[in-house]
Formats: sequence, C-alpha cells, structure tokens
Amino acid sequence: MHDGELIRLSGVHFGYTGRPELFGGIDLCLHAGDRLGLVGANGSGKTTLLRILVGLEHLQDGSVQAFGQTMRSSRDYDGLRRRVGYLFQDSQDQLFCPTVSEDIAFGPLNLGKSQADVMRTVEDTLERLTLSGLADRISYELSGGEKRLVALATALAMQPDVLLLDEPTSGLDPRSRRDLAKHLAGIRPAQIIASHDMEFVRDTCDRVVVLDGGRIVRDGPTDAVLGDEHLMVQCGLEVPPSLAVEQTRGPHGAGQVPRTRDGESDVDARP
Amino acid sequence: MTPTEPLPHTSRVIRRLDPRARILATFMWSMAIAVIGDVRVLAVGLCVAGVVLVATGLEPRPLWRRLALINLFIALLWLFLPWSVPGEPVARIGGVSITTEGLLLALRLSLRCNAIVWVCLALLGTCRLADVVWGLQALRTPNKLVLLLFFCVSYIQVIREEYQRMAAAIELRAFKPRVALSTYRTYANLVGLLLVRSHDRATRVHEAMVCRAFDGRLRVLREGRLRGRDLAVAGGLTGAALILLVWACMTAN
Repeated sequence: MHDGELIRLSGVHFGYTGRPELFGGIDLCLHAGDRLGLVGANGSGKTTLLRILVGLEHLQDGSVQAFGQTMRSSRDYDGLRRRVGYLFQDSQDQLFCPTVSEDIAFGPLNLGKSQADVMRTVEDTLERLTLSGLADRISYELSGGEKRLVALATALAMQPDVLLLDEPTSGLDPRSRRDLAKHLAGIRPAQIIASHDMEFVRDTCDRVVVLDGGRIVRDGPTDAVLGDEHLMVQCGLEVPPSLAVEQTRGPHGAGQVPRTRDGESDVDARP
Repeated sequence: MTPTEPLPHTSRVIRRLDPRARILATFMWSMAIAVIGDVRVLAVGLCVAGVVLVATGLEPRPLWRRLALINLFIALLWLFLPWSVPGEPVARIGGVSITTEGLLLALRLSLRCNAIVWVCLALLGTCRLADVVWGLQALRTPNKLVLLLFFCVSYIQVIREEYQRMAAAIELRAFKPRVALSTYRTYANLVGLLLVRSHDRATRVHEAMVCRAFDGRLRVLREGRLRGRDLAVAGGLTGAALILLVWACMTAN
C-alpha cells in the first residue's frame, strides 16, 4: 500500500451462491480524507462492495488491504471493524439497545473503554450531531431522520478512520438530508457513500466511482463523472439536476446555480 | 408502552434499588413459591406479593393490562383442569364431573403464578432492561442466558411491529377472515413470513453488532454499589420466602 492509502481492494471477484458473478475483478483505493461516492443502478453491487470491505461477505478471489494489512482471517476483520464505521441502509438494524445513549455506548464499551470515557464519548457525539435532547429516548420511537443521525452517532462514537454509508438519505425529508450532509461535511474520517441520490453524492463527495456490470466503469472527480450524461444513461443513472442546469447554462453564466457552503443547491433545478 | 420500558411507578425505594438485589430477591421468592404446594401458604404468599406490588406504587392501567394478559392463561386452566383431573366429584355440569382435586390444582396454580408474577412485575418490571442485563452479569449468570434474555425482550416489540405491518398490508387488500382454506393459507403465509423476516432482521442486527466490535459479551453503561437498603429488601423478601417454605414443610408433615 502507498502512503495515505487506507483501504485497497485488488482484483475482487464475488458472486452470491447460485447467481451469476457480481464482481469480476474490482480494484478500488481509498485515501485518507477521501469522500468517495459509490453510484450504480439497482443490483450493481454497491451494498455488497461495502459489506466486502468490512468482511460481512467473503471474497472468492482478490484481496482487501486495510491500514497496511492484508485481510486474511476473521480476526483481521475484527481489527478492521474497530477502525471502520458502517452506517447500514436501514437504521433500525443498527439501533437495538433500549435507549439512544445505550446504543451509542455499545461500540465504545466493546472497544474496552472505561465507563467514564464512554459517558464522555456519548455526550460528545450527541452534542456534535446536535442530538443531546435524545439521549434517554427509546431508539425505535425516533423519527426517520433522528434514527439516521443516531445510527451515524453509533458509528462515529467508535472514532473510526473510515466511514461507510449505505444509502444514507433513503427515507429522509429534504431538511434531514441537508442536516446529514452538513454533519458529514464536518467530520474527519474518510468516507465511502453508496447512494442513488446523485444530488447528495454531489453535495458530499469529491470523487465518484461508478459500478456497472460487475466492474468499475469510471473513477474520477465528482462533477466530471456525474456530468457525463452518456455514461450516466448507459449505467441506468441520471445526471444530478443541479449539475444538468449548470451544464445547460454554463458554469460562469448568468444562470449559474448558487450553492450553499456545504454544497447544497439552493434553487429548484426543474426545467 | 413496550416490553423494554420499565413500568411507571412512584416508589423512590424501588427506583434506587440495585438490579442485583432485585434479581436475587425475585429469584429466591420464585423458587420458594414454585415448590410450595399448600394452598393456605400460597394464599399468604399472594398477600405478601400484593403488599410488595402495592408498595411499588405501579400505575394501575399498564399493571392491570399485564395482569389481565397473564390471568387469561390462568382462566384456561380453570376451564380444563376441574373436569380433566381425576378425583372426588363435587358437582356435575352437562354430564361432566367437576373434581375437588381439579379445582384445588387450578387454585394452586393460580395462586402460585400470581404470587410469582406480582413480585416479578414489582421488582423486575420496574427495572430497565440494560440494568437487568448488568445485574445478571454482575451475578455471574452464564453469558448465553443473558444474551437470550436481552434479545427475547428486545425482539418482542420488533416482531410485533413486523406482524402489524404485514397484517395491515393484508387488510388493505380487502382480506376478511372466514372459515375457509384461503384464510388459513393466508395466516400460515403470514406466520411463515414473520419467521423469515424475523430471522433476516436478526441476521442484520447481528452484523450491525459485529461491525461495532461485538465479541459475544454484552456490555452496558452502568456502575453500581450494593447499599444497606438493597440488602434489606433482598433479605426481607428472601426471609419471607423461607418462612413460607418452612411453614409449607411443617404442614406437609
């Protein structure tokens, strides 16, 4: 692995039993500070790729290297999971303790931190995500947006070096989505965001990888990849509306789309 | 109100009671009551349990709801035991003999069950699930048992929600239960799917736990110290259980 590389997938082959091969040799590299968007049509393998990264699916061929070590055994993956936070597609799966604070404390307690340290971590994490009022709430009674942020808090409380987010905006209203984008912009770990929400990917990522037909068909800067209409259509995707408008009107034209500090488009991009 | 939430109550003593004291007292009480056969002793035991329940100051509505649910099963015993246990007949209803032994058995089971459940509701029902887990671990309970308890209680609500979602989906498609094969098939599918979905959900939750460095041992955010008050409550209830046990042994001889 080179300097600054956190995770590297090399020649990954994978397929579910009884189904055609899903990945026919994937190579991917994540560097420190990367905000990587993973896009692709339904069934292209975005979730599976994230699951492979944390060892929830087993490779048929190829290798995963993380933090300078090649993952060979389940013990290696145990070590990796201590440094990689994973936000599941369905937040309900991630919230299994009776209250929010207990859920957030679960990871740090498993890392062997003292009760006092864990208490501090829980408070800090809640405060950072402006969730302090939810500490004693019952997890499953929260709204969709709150659940999403609490699930993010459970991952962040482990102070990971890498954060994997699987469809983080699914089921979120625009305001919750904006809150999530703001929080993600303000955190340190490198991120891989698998999403169908092209606007969200554009708002939060500086690099995008497109998955199609079991391979990576494009890896490059966000606007260059998402703005390639031919590629997007070919892969069953769409150019984000805000980018389409920018392309139509020209980036420096009078009609340039104003964007907020965190990259959120402020105008309705409908034609 | 869900199974993971403690029952609302007003007792300050109960609120501050250490989970270990609660678990020990409930365990000793339940063991003693479970082996007592004398109906008079069980009746006194039920009175003691009633005192504990009243002292807890539980809110009546959720309490009655739970007691009604439990006594629904007891009602089934009263429906079947009086005529199905052989013994001396005391009455005949529609050609079926009701026996003294059957009535006594139903009464014994009713008293025993309620005496145990009332104390459980007062001491464990008012405790947070995480505290019960912590208490069990502190008392060196096997880890697998603790995990089983934690997930059973946690998942009753999840499975209920899953069932409600599917039941609503069925109703929305104009399903009306009838005495017909199609109705039975629909219910069979529903139960089957409930099992499959619950299994899937359990798998995903386990994966989420593994991703957060779970190694098979539950750790909860709590520290505790046994105080005189805890020992007094645990000792008091254990003492009462022992007195009842000795009394039952004496009457048996």
